[in-house]
Amino acid sequence: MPVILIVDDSRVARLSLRRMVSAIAPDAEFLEAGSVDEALSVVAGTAIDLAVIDYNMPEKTGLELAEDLRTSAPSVRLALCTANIQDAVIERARNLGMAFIPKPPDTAVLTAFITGSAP
Amino acid sequence: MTMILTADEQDVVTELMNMGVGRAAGAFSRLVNDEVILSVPEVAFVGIAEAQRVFDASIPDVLAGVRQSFDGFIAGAAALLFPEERSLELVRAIIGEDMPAEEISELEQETLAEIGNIILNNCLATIANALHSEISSSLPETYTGDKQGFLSFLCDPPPEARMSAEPPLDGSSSVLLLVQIDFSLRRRAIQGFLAFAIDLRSAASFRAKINEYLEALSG
Repeated sequence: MPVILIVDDSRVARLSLRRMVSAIAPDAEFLEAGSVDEALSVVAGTAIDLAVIDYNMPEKTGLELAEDLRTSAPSVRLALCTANIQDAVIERARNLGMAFIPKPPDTAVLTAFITGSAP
Repeated sequence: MTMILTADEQDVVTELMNMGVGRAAGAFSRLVNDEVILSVPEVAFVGIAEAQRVFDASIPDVLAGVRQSFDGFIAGAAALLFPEERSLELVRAIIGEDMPAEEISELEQETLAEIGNIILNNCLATIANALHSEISSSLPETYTGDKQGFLSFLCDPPPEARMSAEPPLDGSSSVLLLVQIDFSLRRRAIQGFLAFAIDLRSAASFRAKINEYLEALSG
């Protein structure tokens, strides 16, 4: 049963991502955070397997969160899920070892990340 | 401050908008699971008064909209607009038909913000990629009101939303690059509008990028 953290400042985005992931992995357990700081405190208290992270959030971006998680929780697999599909953003995500999921997610791309298979 | 583009430059702007909006339409189509039909973008440089006339003639009286300001090689604001009475239907299309009515209406503003975020970012990012440049955008802000108020909402974002320290467009010296695109959903009879107001203080760098793009095409 994978534990998946969804980080997005939009409740609607979290809701819709959760629906999609539930269809892919019905046994998934979800944690949600609306900001980078909230995500960090969630991760400090609970072990998670995967994190799907928005880019543009108030105060800190999803890439800043990923940088932190790379050292504080190196075993967690990370994906950046954003409509900001700029080459520069995708490259920064890849440099941090993150998967990139354009928003709104395509089911095949999301499935590849959740199941750990090649996209 | 004015910006007169050559015919080739104007073509590039229209083509970039086509690419950006095409990509955004693909994203929107996935989001609502419906086909999105687009008009050809209309690109025009207008003053504030002319922009108001364009809005008066072409957009609904009462609007639900989302705007994001952007900054980088090009600065300005982009907005996505829907007729207000259709916005709940749109919310239902996205978060599911099975949600109770009160929950749908509670999530209305947030859903609009997220739709705006997805459409506007897909569009802006595609344009930035085509020009090998970078752009940063603010968080989405929603608007509900009449079309008279909308133009000032588009051009004069609240201070906390502004990304640069420059004063807002005040209409006295500003010319807007107004790009208008109409789109509709095939199955749901929902129409929307996209408008971009480009701050011509960034005209020089935008124009330089357009010309690099033109040179790459002919080279």
